[in-house]
Amino acid sequence: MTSFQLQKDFPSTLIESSPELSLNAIHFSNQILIQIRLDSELDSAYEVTEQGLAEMEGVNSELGYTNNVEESNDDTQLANDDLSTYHIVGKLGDPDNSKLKVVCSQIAKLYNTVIIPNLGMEKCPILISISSKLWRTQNEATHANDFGKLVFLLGSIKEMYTI
Amino acid sequence: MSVRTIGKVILSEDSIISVPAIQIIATVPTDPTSKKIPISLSICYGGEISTNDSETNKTNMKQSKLMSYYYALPHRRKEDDVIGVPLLDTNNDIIRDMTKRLALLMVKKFNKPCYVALSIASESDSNSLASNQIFVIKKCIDFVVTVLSGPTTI
Repeated sequence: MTSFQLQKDFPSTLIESSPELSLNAIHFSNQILIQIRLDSELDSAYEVTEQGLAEMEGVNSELGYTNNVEESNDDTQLANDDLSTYHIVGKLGDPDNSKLKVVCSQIAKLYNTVIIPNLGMEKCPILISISSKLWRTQNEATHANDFGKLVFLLGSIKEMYTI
Repeated sequence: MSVRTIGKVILSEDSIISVPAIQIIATVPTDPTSKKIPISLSICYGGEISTNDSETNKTNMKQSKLMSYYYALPHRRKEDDVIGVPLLDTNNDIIRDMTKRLALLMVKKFNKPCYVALSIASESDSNSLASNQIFVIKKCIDFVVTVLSGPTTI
């Protein structure tokens, strides 16, 4: 198994208290395990696998899937949604927290499009242990920073692999 | 920094009884008294040490397969009770048992939540795991004790 780590502070513009983000990724031959701690805390776990037709490359053009809907001449062209091919199973934590599930699919997409090709690995399921305090579903005031936090997290993961 | 991550490779010192190499990566809180910060332990059992470079003190290990991931934590109300759940389960009883046992022991000892991931380098290693279980558990706990109390490097 090979391991990668990174520790960074969240900018106070995203989260006021500027908590520390600790990342630790361990690569096995059949899975990638990533732990995302906020102020060292960790309380939810999700497993992301890739399923669905998008995996089959030849099928997409035959079925009429296109990434850019505006370009299609035919009204019945279907748009390809990459993120829907990720199957997320909640292993630990609040099952009603849908924000974390979306974040997990984004992390998986980052891995499959950037990190895995960069490291020359094969695609595999990803186990994500994350702190639910990063994206709470209550408290209206903090919704505004959700996207910023996601971008910061994805950027930090990339940085951890020094890409 | 409120957590640190340290890795170590443990080789069998006894020449009579040979135990496959164990690679441990532990993420522990820098403050040993904190009760909310979980300990993460990733263990690779087995595998060959293909090169042992004495200059950089690096050892290369084969890629291992993650078999089991267990989460355990102290019971909120009953003080001495420990509860746990497998996050990644396996049909190999020995591996599941060992991961569960190690996680529950760690929580009992350190009184904080604990994540244990166990991987093996090859199928044949899982057979020797049953007889070496106690050795592996002891080495892991000793390692975490050292890391929790000691300096940042070993």
